[in-house]
Parts: sequence; structure tokens; C-alpha cells
Amino acid sequence: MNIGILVPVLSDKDAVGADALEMGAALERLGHTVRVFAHSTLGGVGKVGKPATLGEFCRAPGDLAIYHFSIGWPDAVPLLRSLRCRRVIRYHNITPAHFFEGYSAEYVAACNFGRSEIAALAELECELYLGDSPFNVEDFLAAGVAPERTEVLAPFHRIDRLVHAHADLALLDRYKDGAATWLSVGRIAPNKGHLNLIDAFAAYRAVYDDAACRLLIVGRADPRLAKYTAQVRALVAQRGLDDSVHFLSDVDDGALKAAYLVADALVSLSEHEGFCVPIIEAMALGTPIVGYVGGAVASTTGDAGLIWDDTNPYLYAASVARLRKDAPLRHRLRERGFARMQETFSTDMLSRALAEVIGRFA
Amino acid sequence: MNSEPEEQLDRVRSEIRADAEAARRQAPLPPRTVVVAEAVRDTASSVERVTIAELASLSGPTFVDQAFRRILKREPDPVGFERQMAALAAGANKIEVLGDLRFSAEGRRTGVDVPGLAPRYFLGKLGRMPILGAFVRWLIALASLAHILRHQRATEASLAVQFGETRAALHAGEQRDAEHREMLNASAVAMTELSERLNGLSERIGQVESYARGLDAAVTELRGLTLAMNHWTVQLRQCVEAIESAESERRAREDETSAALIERMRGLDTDRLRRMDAWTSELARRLSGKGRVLDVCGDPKWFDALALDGWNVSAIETNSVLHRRARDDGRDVTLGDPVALMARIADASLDAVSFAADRVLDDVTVVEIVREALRIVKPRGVLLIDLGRSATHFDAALSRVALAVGFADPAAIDAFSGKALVFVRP
Repeated sequence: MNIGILVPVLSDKDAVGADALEMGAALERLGHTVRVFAHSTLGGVGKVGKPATLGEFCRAPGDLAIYHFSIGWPDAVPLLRSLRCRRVIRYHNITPAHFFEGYSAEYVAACNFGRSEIAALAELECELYLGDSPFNVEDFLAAGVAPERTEVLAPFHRIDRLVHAHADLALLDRYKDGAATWLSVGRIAPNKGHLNLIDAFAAYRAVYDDAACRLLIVGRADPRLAKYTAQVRALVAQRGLDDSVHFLSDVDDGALKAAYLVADALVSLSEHEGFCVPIIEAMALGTPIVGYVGGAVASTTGDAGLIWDDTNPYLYAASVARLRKDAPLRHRLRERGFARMQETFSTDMLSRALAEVIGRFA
Repeated sequence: MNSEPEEQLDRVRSEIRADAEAARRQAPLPPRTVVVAEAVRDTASSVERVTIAELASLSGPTFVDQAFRRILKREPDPVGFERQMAALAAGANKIEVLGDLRFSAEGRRTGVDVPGLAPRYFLGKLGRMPILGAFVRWLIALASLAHILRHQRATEASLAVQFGETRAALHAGEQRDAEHREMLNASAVAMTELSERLNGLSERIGQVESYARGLDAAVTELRGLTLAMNHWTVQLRQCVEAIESAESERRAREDETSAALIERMRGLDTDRLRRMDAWTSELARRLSGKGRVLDVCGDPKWFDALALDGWNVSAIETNSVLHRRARDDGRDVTLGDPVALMARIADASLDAVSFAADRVLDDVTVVEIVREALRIVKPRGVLLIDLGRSATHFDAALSRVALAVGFADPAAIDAFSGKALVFVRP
């Protein structure tokens, strides 16, 4: 069948773009004719079709259109309504606006609009609402979508590329000195819980009297969230951590891999995650995971990490300290992470799961 | 994942919670004092003034994105973004893009101040007009000549600096290259050593493999011996079973012969019923009520006489044929060794025990039965020994045995061509 994959803005550098492009490749391997449609593109994503031509490509009732929904896009609902083929909403989650209140009116407006589209898309009664995680599916269930029209499929990713990248030797040399190394991966945004993370790191440094320890915050700072970024940096200064907290932005795969390799733990205090790709990156690279239960973090991590339902900073400090001194625990979590990655999130397993999902349209 | 590791992980989590609580008490964090709402301005909502230099320092999509955000105070819509990107790609300069946004209807409503933009934007527009435009472009070029020359000199100086920096970087790169080469050489030496060690290891592995092959041969031989022994054991078991089977058949034939003889003898004893009446009378005389009686190898008629007289009777029989017939007739009779079966009876739990001495030929067994009888009858309970019709030579010996193990009050019931001895437990 013809399968059209629709994305408002397609980038080869973000998680949504990776899911859309890799999903397209997997569908082609299943023997379908796949074409990607995007309003605009960033980076080298290859040739894509204009959204206005999606209806022409998916003109038969047996064809399938998959809309990757992660930002508000006014054209989406009218376009999907006009299609004659079957429709799938691939939902990557939209952060609730309240996280951005006081930081960016623009983000608040964009998130409110995006969240309002959940109801509009639910009313379309598409054939399937496919969430990245059980947490994501809950949004559509709350909007009235019947449970039998929902499925969970973890996002496709390019972690194999990260695993096979050459780790940045300079970064390895710089940080591989045995000092405790915390790692946080994700853009600098208010829902990511950086303030709690810095408090947890400060608690670790104070309690375990470890002046050499460091926190690597890997992620891009958004100019539109400058107020939040400044707040994070101010808290770093207040806690006396200027020399211990290292902000790394625009890192390539080699540097990201090196950061995972030198870290004692990936620590996430994010309060809202639709899936959290860094968790499976950590699993693939053998970095133990310590995290707050926010959003889909618990379901993505499973039993392969220390997940807490409390933001008490000392819990995270004690968790990292325990991981550093308890080698059997560290190895057990690594083994579970590797196993979970292979058995649940590997591209092969995701392709099989996708084949089952698409099988219902055969 | 089985439950044991889960329990271990739960225990670890409990310990971490305890550690965290201790850590909190040890080093409490001071409260956050960070308030930056006033210190940092929200670029999306409150910027009213933008300079051209600020935006012109950006390029490509970043420039267009920021131009929208700073001048129209919103993120670019996809169509507008693409239009401006297309304009840049077609050769438009940044002033034109900024001016298009600032002097659009939306830009005028937003009213962001961009100092110096208006004259440069409108001169640019003028320069695109036919004929007059060319004249204007000449004038602009002439007026800009001094600025262009200054810019060119600055560029030359900048390029010279960059050239120097590039050369220094190249030199540093060469040094690093040399260092890397040294490291590679060192690695090659280490690899050689490693290779030698691997060879040594390979030799050791060969020795271990040889030893393992020897072990394998020994295990094979041991396996053969074990199989032979198994075969022998099976044959032995079959022989034992054959012997047991023959013994069982012999015992059955013996029991049949013995039972036939016993029954024939009993048939010839015509006075036995009257004798048994005398014995039941004696029991009734010696015991106050009709309690429990155990009979060992006795006559079935004696069992019936007791039962008819109101006693609660059970019996032990050593002959399988007689046992089967007694069971068939509805009597409570157990087959087996009398001493072993009596050993299971509780102390002082019976009122009387009787046994037929002519059925028990082994002296040791007789003594054991008498001793067990003393244990299981109640105080003042009775032991009755049936001596049969030809028991005169047993009489004295059995009396001595009974008295020796502890019975008292010996008496003899001599009536109707037969005799029985009666004793009482003190």
C-alpha cells in the first residue's frame, strides 16, 4: 500500500525526525511504497513532498497516512480531514504550557495551541492513535479516543549510529580522571528539571565531600528561554558550582558518546517526558540510569535503573554515591539496560512491532 | 527477571533512602535565592528595540528566525520563513529582509524600533527602480567608497591575523601528530608483547586441551565400567527376586500344610468347645467387666466364644491361610509376627491376653510374648495360655517363664481333656 508520512517540520537532528525517517525506512523494508511530506525541512533530509500533495499520493481508501504530531500546526486537522485514506496519529507528546509560564509567552501560546489540537485530532476518529509510550496514549484516551484505537510503539531512533561513532578522545581525556561524573542530556527547558538536578548535584558534592565531582549538562540553550537558562546558571552560581557544572551544547555523536562513557550515571529529574530517548541511549552505552518518575521516564526505564517518585535531592545524591561504590549493582543495572535495549527498543524489535501494528491495516 | 534480584533491588532502594535521609541531616541545602525574573528579560515578549548589527551578525535560517522573533515578536510561520529564505537565496540583502518584516502591516502594528533601518531599506528599494535605480546605486556606491576601502583594510588585517592563527594551529597539529606517532609506536611495542603473551597462553591452552583429552578417555573407561556394573546389578536383582519368589511360594505351601494340620487336629478335639466355656467362666470370675481381649494364634472358636460372651476381641495370626479364612468370616485378625504386632499396643490397655502355646514352638518367642503381655494388660489383667490336649511337658516351663517376667497368682484350668494356665498382672 502507499503510506504517506506527514511531518510539519522535518529535521534529521531531532527525535521526531529520526522516528519519521526510520519508520519510513522500516515500512519500505516491509514492502510498502513510502513517501515523506513536510511543510519545511532542516538539515539533509533528502527530498520530501509538499503536504498539499499527500491526498494525491494516498488517494486509495486502503492507503495510509501517518501524521507525526509533536507541535501545533494549523494545517494538520483540515488536511487530515480531507484525506480519503486511513489515518494514523503518531503522537510524540506536547509539553503542557504551565511549565513555560513566566519564562516565555510564546512557548505558552504554542503549547496551548498544540494541546488544543489533541481534542481536534481525537474528534477526527482516525483509525489509530499511536503513542511513543503509555503515558502519551493517556492524552488521547482522556480526549475520548476508544482504547482499541490506541497502541504504543516506542520511537525509532539512530542510537546504532551513536554506538558506532568514534568517541571524542579530547572529551574522554578531559573527564576520564576517576572523579564522580553526573550526566544530564536534553535541551535547557523548564520541564527538564535542571533546578532540581543542580540541587541534587550540590547535595552530592556537600555530603560526599567530593570537590572534584562534575555535572555535564549536554543540551542546547534556547534563546527564547533565556530567562530559564539564566535561572539555571544563577542557581549554579548560588550553590558555588561554577567550576563543577559544565554546559556542553551542540555536541556531535562522538562527544555525546564520550559523555555517556565517562559518566557514572545519567541523572534525569525531568518532570515531563513523552518517551526520553537519552534513557535508551544510556542503556545502549552502558551508563546506569537514575531518574525522577516524570512522564514516561518510568515506563521507558523499566527495571534497568533507579527511578524515584520523589524529587528529594539527597535521593539522587545517595543513588549516584551507591552506584560508584557498589559494582555488582552497577553491573546488574547495565546488564538490564543492555537487555532492555535489545529486547524492547532495538531497531529490529521496533520494526517487528511496527509490522504488527501495520498488520491490522492489511 | 526472577523475584530474588527484585528483592535485592528493593533492599538497595531502602538502603539508598536511608542514606539520603542521613545525608539530608548531615548537610542540609540552603534555600534557593535565585530570582531572575527581573534580571533577565523575556526576549519574546518585552524587547522593543533591536539594532541592525545585532541581527545582521546572524546568518541563514538563524537570521530569519531571529528577525521574526525580534521584529514581529513571534516565531516564523512556515510560509513566511520560506519566503524570506528564498529572498536571501535570490540575492536579497539582510536589510531588505528586516525592512520587509518591519514595514509590513504586522511589523508596523508591533512597532519595534530598529534604528537606521528605514533610510537604508528605502534607499535599497529605490535602487531597484528602473533608470533612477541605477543612478541611485551609483551614488550609493560613490558615497560608500571610503567605507568600503576602510572595510577592505580591516579585512586584510583580519585575514593576516587569521593566517597567523591558522599557521600556529597547523604547527600545533603537527606536534600532536608527532605525539600520536610516538603513541602508535608505543602501542606497537605493547602489541608485540601482547602477542608474545598470547602465544604463551596458546601453549598453555594446548597443554590443558591435552590433559582434557586424557580426562575424557578416563571418563569413557569409567562409563564402560559403570555400565558393566549396572548390568551386573540388574542380574543380581533378578536373582534376588527369583529367590524371594521361591521363598514366598514355599512359605505359602508351608502355611497351607500347617493350616490343614491345625484344622484337622482341631476337628479331632471334640471337647474344645466345652473347655472354652470353662475358660470364659474363669475370665469372668477373675475380671470385673467385659473389656478388651487379645488372642494370639488361638482357635477361631475361642475368638467366637469370647465375642459371644461380650468381650471386645482382636487377634493375631501367623499363618496366612488361617488369617485369610478368619478375615473371610468377619473376625478382627491381623497377620504377622506376634511380638512385633504386640509392640505397637499401648501399655496397660487390655484386660486379658490369651495365646495358644502349641502354635508357638520357639522358646524365645514364647518369652517375648509373655513379656509383651505383661506390659499391655492392665493391673489385675489376665494372661491365659492354652496348652491344648497334650501339653503336660509345657506346663512347668511356661509357669516359670510367666512368673519370671512378673505375672503372679498362677492357676491351672484342667478340664475336658485339656489344660490352660492363668496368671494375673500384679
